[in-house]
Amino acid sequence: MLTAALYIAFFSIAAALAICMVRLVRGPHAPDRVLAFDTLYINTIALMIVLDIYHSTSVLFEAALLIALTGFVATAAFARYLARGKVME
Amino acid sequence: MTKLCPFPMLSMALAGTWLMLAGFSLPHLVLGSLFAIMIPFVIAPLLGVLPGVRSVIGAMRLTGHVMWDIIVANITVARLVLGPVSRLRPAFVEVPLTATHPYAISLFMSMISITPGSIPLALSPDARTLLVHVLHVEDEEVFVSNVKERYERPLMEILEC
Amino acid sequence: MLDFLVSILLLVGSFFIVVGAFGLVRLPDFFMRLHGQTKSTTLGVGSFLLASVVHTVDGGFTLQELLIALFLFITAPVSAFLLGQVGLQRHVPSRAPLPEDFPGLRHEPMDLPSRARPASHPGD
Repeated sequence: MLTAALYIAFFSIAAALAICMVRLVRGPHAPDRVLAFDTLYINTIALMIVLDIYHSTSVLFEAALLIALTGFVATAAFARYLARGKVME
Repeated sequence: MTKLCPFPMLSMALAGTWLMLAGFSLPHLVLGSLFAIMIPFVIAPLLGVLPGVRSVIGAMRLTGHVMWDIIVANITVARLVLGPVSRLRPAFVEVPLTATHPYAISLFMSMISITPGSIPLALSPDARTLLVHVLHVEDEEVFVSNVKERYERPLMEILEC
Repeated sequence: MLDFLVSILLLVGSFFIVVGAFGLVRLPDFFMRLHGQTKSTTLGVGSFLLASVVHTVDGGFTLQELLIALFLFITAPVSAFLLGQVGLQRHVPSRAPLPEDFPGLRHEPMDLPSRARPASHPGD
């Protein structure tokens, strides 16, 4: 039963990633694309956690944490660039 | 003691995070405590005045309330998203703030944001009004009083400010 | 028994991740789409992480997964706030009337490299 649930989870995450890609490509505005990117990295974190459960390890945990850290910084930098035209001043 | 450890809560949180990340062992306990004492000194100029916590039990009860609200609001918003979109009535609502302390305001904003269905988008320069976008609102007055009653009042009771 | 709990948590997480992403294409304007993102963060990833915590109980109890949840719960409001400010500043089309008289909002749409198509987007 756990295996079935894991496959359903994999499938849903893949579907969610595909849907986010649609929004990323279609836009229509720059903030929409950044929002799609933000959701994309959160879904990637979810994928890594489910992979961890699937393999009964915790090797991907560090990778998930790193994606969480860099993803947030990237979103903040994108938003700052769109709002002010520069990231650092 | 206060000289050595000016922000005890922050230091405890840092040490706890370190132990969660590295696993519990004696060397990591020493290393984590060392970081927990040193880091607050480095970032002290950025912190400003931290509000004290008046009641730990109240803080835990508020955390539980917020968690429950997250679950309920998630189900509500999922139903709204899957239902007919044309029926949704989004609105920008202005919420007048009673809290004045920056940490209280930012905690309040985080709570509004983390419960799905409402996102704070702007704070007026005098920090008196909050602009919140709500996915579906029937009555703005009810929304404002609900949010203030559920989150802001307990927050101000818990924090010394 | 434990496997049952893990399965339930996985299914709940899957549902909310899909609904969050679905909202991203289905909802008609940018500010409404922002709500989908907070949803997939909070309950979607939250219940996956809970499943992971429950699952590793037999192999050695770790709370590491909760750190990710904590971090996401702290950062999600910040990124939503920053993105919302961009949307307000750029006058992104919105179904709810944009607040023109809110103090402190800069209202000049900036000349930045955006290839946004000017016509409002049908949504789905």
